[in-house]
Amino acid sequence: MEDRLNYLLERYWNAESSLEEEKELKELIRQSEDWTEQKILFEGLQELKQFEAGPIQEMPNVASKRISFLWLKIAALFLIFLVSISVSYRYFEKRAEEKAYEQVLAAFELIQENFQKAKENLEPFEDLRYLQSSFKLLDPTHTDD
Amino acid sequence: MKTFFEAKIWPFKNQLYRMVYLWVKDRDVAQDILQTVFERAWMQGSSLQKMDNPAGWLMKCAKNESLQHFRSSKKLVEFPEAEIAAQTSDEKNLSEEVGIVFRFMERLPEKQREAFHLREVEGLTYEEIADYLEISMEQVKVNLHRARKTLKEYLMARQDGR
Repeated sequence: MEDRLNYLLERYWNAESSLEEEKELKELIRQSEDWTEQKILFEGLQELKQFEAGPIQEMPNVASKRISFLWLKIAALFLIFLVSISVSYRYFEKRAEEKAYEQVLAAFELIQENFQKAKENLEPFEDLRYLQSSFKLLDPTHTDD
Repeated sequence: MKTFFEAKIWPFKNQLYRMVYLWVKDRDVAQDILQTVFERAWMQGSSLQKMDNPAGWLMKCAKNESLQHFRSSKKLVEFPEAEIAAQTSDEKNLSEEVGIVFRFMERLPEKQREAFHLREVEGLTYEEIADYLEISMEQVKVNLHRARKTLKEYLMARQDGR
């Protein structure tokens, strides 16, 4: 047994041993009355292997963080959509006002144009002023005071 | 049928915990770091499924979180090359055997420490260790050889000291 132990130990120090050989070596050392320091160390390694993690918080809680973040994104997109609707509405409203203003101006221009035409058409009747004055000249009772 | 997370990630839970505990030497901190690592893995979603080596990713993530812990608590002067960690309350409650393991591991450089832990505690093959640490199998063997040489000297020194 001692020969086998020494053979395995030599392979172990040289990192040439397989996992099975290492397992056998550790068992032989455990059973041996010597090799105290190696025994303590291998026991420590075995004890360390028994350490286990505590419970991990369930991943669905992490998923709910992802879902919350998704809702936040959706809310942000909706807000952007509302703002753009509002801006577009104000733009179109302003355009409509400008158009109405232009139409009123065009109407006034038309009125002015027609008024000018009417004035021109009435020009011949201007002379009738003088007609009234002629009658006054011919009226024997008319006096210029 | 198990999900990808249940089949490929969840089985690493205790292995990762022990590795992180080796670094931080505090069970509560190790637990917190593990929780963070798993949350990150979950958030990765389908990206983790496409990775060739999710174990390596987990290890890297755990190491980064541990490093962050040390930086924020300023318990180490240097990491990854540092060997000395401030004693935590956990260490006082450890058995003599585990205490000896930790004191020995503190003497090893980072890569040797990791290779030694994954072989001796987790019982991984050279190929599995290479995947975890994202190094070649030859490098695993070299690191393990050096770690065990240091172990031999350490045990001989203890024997002479008794």
